Amino acid sequence: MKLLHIDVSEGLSSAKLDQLLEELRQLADAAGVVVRHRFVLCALMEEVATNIMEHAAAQWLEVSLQVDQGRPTLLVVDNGKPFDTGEAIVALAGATSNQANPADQRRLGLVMLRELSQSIVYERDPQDLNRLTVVLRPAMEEC
Amino acid sequence: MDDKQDEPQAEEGYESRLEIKLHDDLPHNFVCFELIGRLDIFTYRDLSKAIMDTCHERKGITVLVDLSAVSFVASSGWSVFVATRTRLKSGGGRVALCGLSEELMRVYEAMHMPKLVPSFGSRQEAREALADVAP
Repeated sequence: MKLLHIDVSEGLSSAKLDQLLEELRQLADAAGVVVRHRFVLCALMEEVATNIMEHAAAQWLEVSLQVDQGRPTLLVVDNGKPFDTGEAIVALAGATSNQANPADQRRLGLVMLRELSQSIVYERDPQDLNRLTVVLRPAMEEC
Repeated sequence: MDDKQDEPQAEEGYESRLEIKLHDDLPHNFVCFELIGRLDIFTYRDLSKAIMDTCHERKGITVLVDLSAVSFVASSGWSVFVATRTRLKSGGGRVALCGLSEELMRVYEAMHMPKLVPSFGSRQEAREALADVAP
């Protein structure tokens, strides 16, 4: 399980995001991740990185990838502000509500994360770091 | 306060991540935005502005977005399509997509987009299908 460390103290630029995604692709290739999972991994990584930059104001983030029986698990740690789980629950609950703004970007990002993964676990660890673990669905299973 | 200060910015001189080509068939009130590149947090505002600049006050317009040369669409990109649908609806307009790759189609379906924005295989297919149904 290799670790990528990305300095985002000056913000997440397009080049920085490309670098992160390229390194993740290489990590996935080296771990034998199938093409379909590589695309989903990058989609999820982009959503997570965007969220971290927009809402957590982190200085850095670390990404690691573990593959168990062909199923990738993405672990993202950052030193930003705690994730507001209550707000996320409300936003996701709104996904099925007629009153929800369907164009709400953050809500769509959360829907994307939920629908493309098998499980998502968020923890605020004792060192005041955000720790997000995303397990992808098996490659043969449809989203 | 300038909201743009907080927006993620592409570096100066950095190759543009999204090219937008407009095909405007005025007599039929049908416009197609052909996109090339990535539709993400750095580019979605460009597309949103291009659509709004073109479609502003055009009642009953049909907007087709051709994604056949797009490698990636982030949630910010999907939000443009849904927002466009909402804005156009009141004026009798509509929005549709075409040319989604297998990977994009998987995300499109996973995000329940088919309920909101229809998708077609190609521009031609979209034109034919949409011509048969009034907005």
